[in-house]
Amino acid sequence: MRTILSTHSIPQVTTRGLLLRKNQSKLRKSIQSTITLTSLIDAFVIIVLYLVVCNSPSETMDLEDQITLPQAKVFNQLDGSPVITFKNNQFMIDGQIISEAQLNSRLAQVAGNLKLKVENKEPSIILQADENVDFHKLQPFLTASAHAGIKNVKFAVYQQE
Amino acid sequence: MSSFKKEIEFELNLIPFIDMLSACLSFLLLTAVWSYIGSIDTHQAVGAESTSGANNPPSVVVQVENDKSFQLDLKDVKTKQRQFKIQAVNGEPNWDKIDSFLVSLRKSIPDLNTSVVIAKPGVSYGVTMKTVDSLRKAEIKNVGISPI
Repeated sequence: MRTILSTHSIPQVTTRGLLLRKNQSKLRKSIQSTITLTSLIDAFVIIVLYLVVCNSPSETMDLEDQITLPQAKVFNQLDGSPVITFKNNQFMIDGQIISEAQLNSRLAQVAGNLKLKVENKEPSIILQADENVDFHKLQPFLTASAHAGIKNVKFAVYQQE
Repeated sequence: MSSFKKEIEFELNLIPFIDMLSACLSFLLLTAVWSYIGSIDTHQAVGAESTSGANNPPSVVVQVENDKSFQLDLKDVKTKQRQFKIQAVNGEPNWDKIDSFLVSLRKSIPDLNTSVVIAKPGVSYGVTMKTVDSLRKAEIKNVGISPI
């Protein structure tokens, strides 16, 4: 009896197994065929190239908190000039607060250092200030920079959208 | 014949390639600069420079008043009318009118490349910078700011 069952049951099991395997392989094929990776890779490559081109290396500037720069449509790129910040009614260079009395000597020092660094280039300085500040409060800086021989005064701005 | 087919029909493993691209994409997105900071460059006159006796080029002095109106004075030009005033609208500068006026002024006087901006007490830094921007949009290249 056992031998009869065994001889009859074994082929049944094997055929079922074969059927299952066939179904699995069909399922696999159907899944693999639906995911087309080529377009995904194309999109990835385009986005990566776009980001690489757009983020070309340029000079950056640390922006102080509580300062909203004015916006402008026509502006130049930053060139790594020293930055003077006007915040809380005080001028700062490299994080150090400078009084109006010290402004002349400190800017003359900055101009001297710049002339030593680059001989044939006129010294320049970048001003960073909030857009709502009264412009008259910034005038000691303009006067001091003129006294120090800094002709190129640059005002930091955001790109207008 | 079948072995030859197997050799040709190979499968390129794209998963590491996608991983690499994803890593690049994440890095670039995280390090991207989304708000661009630039600078408005002005060329200031230094005390030792003298213009007496020199043949001055046509210039326009733009005075920003405390009530956000603009007073424009043309210098060294041949036109009869040399003073213009642009009134503020609802307490704000009339930027559209200023922009169009400066563009038309530049067209009528092609040699007009020099300008000086004077901000009266109470005028904000933002308004002063926007005035300089308007002048530069009108292709007036040499813009200075008066420290007085």
